[in-house]
Amino acid sequence: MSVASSSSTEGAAPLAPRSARVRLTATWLVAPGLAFLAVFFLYPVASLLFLSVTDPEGGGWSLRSFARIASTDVYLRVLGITFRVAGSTAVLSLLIGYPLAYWIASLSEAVRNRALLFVVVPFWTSYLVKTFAWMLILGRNGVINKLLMGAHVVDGPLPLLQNEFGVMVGMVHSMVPLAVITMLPVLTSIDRRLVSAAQTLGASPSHAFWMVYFKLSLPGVTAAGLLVFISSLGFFIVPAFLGGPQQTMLAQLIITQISELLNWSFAGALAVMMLATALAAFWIYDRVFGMSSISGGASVETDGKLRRVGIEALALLASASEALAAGARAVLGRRVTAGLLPAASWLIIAFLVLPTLLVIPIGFTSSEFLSFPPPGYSVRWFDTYFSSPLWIAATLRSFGVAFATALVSTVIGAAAAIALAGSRTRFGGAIFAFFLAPMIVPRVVIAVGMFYLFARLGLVATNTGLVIGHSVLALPFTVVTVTAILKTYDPRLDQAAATLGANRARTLAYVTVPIIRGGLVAAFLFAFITSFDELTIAIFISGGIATTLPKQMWDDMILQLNPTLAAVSTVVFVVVTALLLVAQRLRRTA
Amino acid sequence: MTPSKLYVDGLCKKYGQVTALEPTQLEVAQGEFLTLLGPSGSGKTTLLQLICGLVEATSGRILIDGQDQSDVPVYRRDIGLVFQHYALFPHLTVAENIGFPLRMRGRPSAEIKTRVAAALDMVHLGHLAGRFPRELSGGQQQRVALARCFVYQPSIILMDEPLGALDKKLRDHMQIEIKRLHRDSGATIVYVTHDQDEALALSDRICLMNHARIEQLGTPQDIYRKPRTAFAADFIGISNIFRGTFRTEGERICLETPQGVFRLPSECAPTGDGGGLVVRPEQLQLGGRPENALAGLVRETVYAGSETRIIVRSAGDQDVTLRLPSHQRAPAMGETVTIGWDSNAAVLVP
Amino acid sequence: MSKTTLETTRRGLLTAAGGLAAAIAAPGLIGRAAAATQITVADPGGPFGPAFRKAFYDPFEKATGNKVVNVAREAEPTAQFKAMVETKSYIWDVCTLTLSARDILAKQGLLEPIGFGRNEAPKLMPEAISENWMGTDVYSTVFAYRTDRVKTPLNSWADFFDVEKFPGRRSMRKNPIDSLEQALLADGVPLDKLYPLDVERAFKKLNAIKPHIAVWWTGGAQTTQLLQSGEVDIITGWNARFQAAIDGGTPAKIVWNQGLYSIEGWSIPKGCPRADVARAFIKFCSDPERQAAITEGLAYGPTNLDAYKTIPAKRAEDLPTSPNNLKKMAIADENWWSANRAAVTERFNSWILS
Repeated sequence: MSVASSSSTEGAAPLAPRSARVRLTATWLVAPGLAFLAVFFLYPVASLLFLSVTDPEGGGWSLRSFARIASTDVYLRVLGITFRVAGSTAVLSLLIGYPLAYWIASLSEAVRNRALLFVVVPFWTSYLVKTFAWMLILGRNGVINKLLMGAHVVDGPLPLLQNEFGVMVGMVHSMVPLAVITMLPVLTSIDRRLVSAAQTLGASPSHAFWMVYFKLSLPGVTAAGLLVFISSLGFFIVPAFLGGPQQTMLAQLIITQISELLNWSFAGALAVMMLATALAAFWIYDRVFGMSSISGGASVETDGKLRRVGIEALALLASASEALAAGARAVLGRRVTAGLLPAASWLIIAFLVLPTLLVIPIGFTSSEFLSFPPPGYSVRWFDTYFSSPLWIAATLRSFGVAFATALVSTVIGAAAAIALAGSRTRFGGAIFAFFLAPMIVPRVVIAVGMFYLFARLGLVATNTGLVIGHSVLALPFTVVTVTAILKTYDPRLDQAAATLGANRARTLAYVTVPIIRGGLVAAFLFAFITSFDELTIAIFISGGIATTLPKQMWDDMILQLNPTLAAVSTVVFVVVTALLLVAQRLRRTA
Repeated sequence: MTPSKLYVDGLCKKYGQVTALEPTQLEVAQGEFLTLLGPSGSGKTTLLQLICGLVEATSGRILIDGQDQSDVPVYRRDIGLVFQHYALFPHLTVAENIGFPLRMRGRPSAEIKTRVAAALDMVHLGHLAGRFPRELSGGQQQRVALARCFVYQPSIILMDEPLGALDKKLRDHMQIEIKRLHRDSGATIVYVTHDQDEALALSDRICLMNHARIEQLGTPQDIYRKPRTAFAADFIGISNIFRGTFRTEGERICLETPQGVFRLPSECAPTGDGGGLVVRPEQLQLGGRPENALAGLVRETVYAGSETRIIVRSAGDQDVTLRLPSHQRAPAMGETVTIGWDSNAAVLVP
Repeated sequence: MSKTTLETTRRGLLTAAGGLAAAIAAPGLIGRAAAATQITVADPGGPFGPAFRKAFYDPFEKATGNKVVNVAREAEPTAQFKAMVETKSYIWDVCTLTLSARDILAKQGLLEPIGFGRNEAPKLMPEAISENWMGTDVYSTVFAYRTDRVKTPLNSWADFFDVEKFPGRRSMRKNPIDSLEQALLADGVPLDKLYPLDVERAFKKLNAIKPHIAVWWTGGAQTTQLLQSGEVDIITGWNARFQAAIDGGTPAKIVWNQGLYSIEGWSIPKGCPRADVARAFIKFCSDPERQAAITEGLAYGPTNLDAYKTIPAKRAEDLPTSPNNLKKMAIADENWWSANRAAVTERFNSWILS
């Protein structure tokens, strides 16, 4: 530093290019991601949003669309509903996901990977299929009502569908895996000896948990909460099928405007409203919990009033839960109390997995309809699937596109995450928020904007187009996942590698990547799933020609809801489970 | 004898088929500094964790002041534990870390404040109270960990290789700190280390462990001078061990080794067919006419300030180490020398 | 990726869309029919695919030597249609449109003329042909009820709205289209005097039934599921959806009385380079025998009423355009909706939330 402060030009000279080079390398890694998003996300969405201030009839500038939003309260109310549903989903997913993640994190690594399957497999299952499974379970003649009425617990069927309850079940079921998978890397990286330390220092298990473990897990919790909240904002399938009118969400209205009323200007205005409010929520979130916790850039604990208040609050929570735990121990005995967490975890796993498994017997039904239990069994629907070139082509394309998407978005996303983790610039937060943006913008907005762009580039109805589109959607997931794992990465290892003669590329290849491999595999899987389950982009970009599996399922669902869907889901389920098992084995032997 | 502060009675820990600690008996007196010494995997850390209650015993019990601790959870035992990697809470400041145990005990905040300040002074870290652990050096972190443990005055303090991560100079300094803290507090300390020098320097007694059980228990002097096993001899200090079979020569029993036939010390009871003679380097003489002698080639001389260490290659390719005061002339490399010792300077081990 | 590979990929995909078998056979086909044109037809997918192939695509290929590749279009493909024309990337040459979609697109000048009129197909329903669109099938918005749950037969929209006399769980479409007409018909407006809709009166009537609607459905396939699973007892919807449930063994009955029918048909995107073949294809589809062939698998009505000469009487009972059913119904007025849809939709959304 003495060199820098010296006024001698000789002294300053060797320093300047050096720091410039360091800054360059950091930027370089984030550049591909920024460029990719600028071209394939920002530009299409911006052109669509530009439409919101265009007169729908005359062209030219106009604020008519916004005036229309303001002229009635319906859009604000739907916006309110959207945020309420997304907020409740985030809270419930965390409440349900945390015990499960905690339990999984406490298992030995081999067992943990197996337990994780129960979380990942439901996550792989298509939203469409999960939604229909819940319709069969929660319906008036559904599994639950039949059981309850059969056992004479209730006299008439309970209203479980077409209301807030149905929507929450469907949304939470979809989002708990996301919450768990996001939290898990942080939970497993917590040094459990700190909890032991707290206990030897006189902290009861409750205090040790809340004031040490939980506090340290907060970055994971907030990241999961944010991801779930943002993902939930764009839901339209679940509220449409499991909810009633009171659960209308904004994405549904935007889709109606774009695809039915062709009023893109108004859709753009609605999208702007959603975006603005989402960003506002984001900002509030940042103020309260600290976005830094998710960006990994500045995870540094600073001594502030808020932090102390937080610690006091945790202490209160700890005392309360200690009383509760003591009560539970007194009533249930030590043994049973100790078994509560595994029991709860298995219950949650059952909640996640059983609806997914429901599709299997339905796939083997002899009936023309998706009903449970099936009146008889046959393999006719598998026959339909395997003998249909359309289905098979769609299946193969989906796997191919998902694989390419996963590759592209993991490489770009990991590079960006590494760059952001290494840099301490003021722009880090803004760039990070930009990478998250594809999650906040409703997919249908991205899809239409993209369709416009791709049509001009000749990318519509091509696999390349699908891969690009899906990569835009998958990037936020890969960036967040890799960022989370990078928080546990010691940057001194880079220096160590450098002193050992590795250049930056080699450091990346031989040190950084192998160490964060777990995060990369997770990011890859996230991206794969995102693409594999993606419908909206596929609807627009596939042009009905390059049909992916969800698109084919959707087409089938629109016109004929038959058990081919369940048969397809069963096959996908088996293939995916097998793939995951193989991936796990590979990781273990590696 | 002072009443036992800590009594470990038939304590045993098994993980499935693996035995982490064989049934063990151990008594620690009030105010004693006991070191558990042994190689990694010898069971010393398991024993420590059993004592503080972090691990539940398969069988046996622990008594503190005569009270069975089996049903007392970790956080209610009157025990402090200093962790190997300090286990400072990264989200709390230095002062908050030190205040944590007091807070958990529901002390009023005014008291916490004064006691934390006193503890910080004790480890000379008063100026760092508001820092976070990651902003401290390793030695500072260790001192915070010590302060956090001593601040609530537990009657037993367990330390799990607390100086393992520090450099030698700092370690030496910290050893003195710990000794002072021990003396000032009067606490009973059970200290785990694999560093024999540390064990010898700090302990009232050393409990040498190997293969999940106690190998030898005694004062440092006992263990150094009278190792009961070859392992004990080898683990503590530098030892020359000559192995061979017993042979009766006249009235005396001797040990026949590849290096020669040596007399046994007078106070020993040979059992079985053979054994080993342990001779410490400082007991070996160069030249002269000792009772037992062997010849060898000087292979290496190591100058260490106060002494010179000489390594001699004897018959059967066994290296023998001896120490010469540095004022004495050291033989040249490759020189053939005769070394020997008085019979009673050796110790017979099975 | 270079332009050549891109083009190759595109062609490969187009061929593959027909299926793997077609893809394998592709080189042979292309070689043989070098002079022939391949057109891409976007049909509604699902069961339409095989039915249309049998009734339209294969016979057309055989008759003209041109090739037809069919793909599934989105339920409301207007957005894609618009983007396709504006960016001149003609991935579809012919596409199925509903009347409302046709009107929206025609208004924006996105449709190509089909090149023939009613003179050339005199038995076509008058509503089934316009300058740039020809109807292929008629669907009808009706309601159905479970005969095992509802003991008293219902026969009109007034019955549907009468929750006292005809108890049962009800379901309506979460859309002002059809719902408003149904309310007005229930309130006593005659079928031929529906339009222009009296929106105030309709919402007033809807207010009365709102608390009794258990499920507001959004997608057609959902109605089959709702009726079949017994989730609801009385439900509005499209006739073919209910027919699918009934064919599958669900004890239900369709009420044709006071139904509103509408038509789906072919259009060509404006500026399509293969418009000539596309026009020939559409003309080909006006043939009554071709139209009769569709009804074997799908419960939709032919637009060329001559088709009933060859349709068995039993099947004709389930079809919207059979004389018996047609006379009980009227066509939904798309013009009124084109003008009022946005505002009424907004009001409906607001109404349903309150």
